[in-house]
Amino acid sequence: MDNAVTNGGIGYVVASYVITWVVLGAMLARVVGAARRARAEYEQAVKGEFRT
Amino acid sequence: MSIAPNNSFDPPRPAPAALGWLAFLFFIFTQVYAVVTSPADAMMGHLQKMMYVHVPAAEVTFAAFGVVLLASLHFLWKEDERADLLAASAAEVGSLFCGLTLVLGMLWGRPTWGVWWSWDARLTSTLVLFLIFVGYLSLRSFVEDPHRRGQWSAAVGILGAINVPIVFMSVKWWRTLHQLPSNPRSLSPEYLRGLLLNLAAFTLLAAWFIWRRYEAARYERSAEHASQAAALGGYDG
Repeated sequence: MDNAVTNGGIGYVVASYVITWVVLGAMLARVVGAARRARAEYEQAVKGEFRT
Repeated sequence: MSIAPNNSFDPPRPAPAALGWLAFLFFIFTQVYAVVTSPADAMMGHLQKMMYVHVPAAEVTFAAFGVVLLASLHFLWKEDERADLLAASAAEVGSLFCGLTLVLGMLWGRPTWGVWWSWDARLTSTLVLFLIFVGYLSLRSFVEDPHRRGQWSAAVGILGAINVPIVFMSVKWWRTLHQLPSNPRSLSPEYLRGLLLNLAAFTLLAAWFIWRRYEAARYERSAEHASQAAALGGYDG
């Protein structure tokens, strides 16, 4: 084991939590954005705005 | 070819916003709770706290690919496009958590094993699992026909999900650097509480992600169908 363990490995712990929160935050934004966009497109399509 | 025998073009039931807020707030609470209440481990020091993100991410990966398996089998059996869209949503969320598991595992491995990566059975089988589902998502993007896309995706999804028990059992079947899975009897209560709470929070959050992604996929298919109907109406008119 390297010194990180004996020192408590705080840097690795902080990095793991920051990465987790950033990744999950990005996924949250992605799924919410995708659902809103898809719903808006559907409502436009139903109104016939895509009629050719 | 058209497959829509089960109202797959109907708009979906939206995921309740309250569930999203509940999942988000519960996640923040469990993360803070686990970090604050768990003492430093005698051997691992504070590195033990990485268990509260790495283990739940791995468990959620397995659960999401379990959803892919069931939804893919349902699609092949009933040819219900909604099952295909659910499988794709779960595969996307599962791939994200699988990638996160790998990265968190590397962050764990460097201080404890002295290396970022080792080609041992657990790490390699997890990487293979991740690549299979990246392939699954890539496959979906270049097959246009919904029926063929659903069939091919279901085949890859089922094959990929079969890898899940191999990943889980790899630490028992082969000698690996990775430790054996923890269980309630091997963990002291102050660590177990935080782990179980985070397992619940990650599961709730992942379920909500899958629901929202599925909702988006259903709206996209409904919009495509409405556009096609409008276009046909235009030509007729």
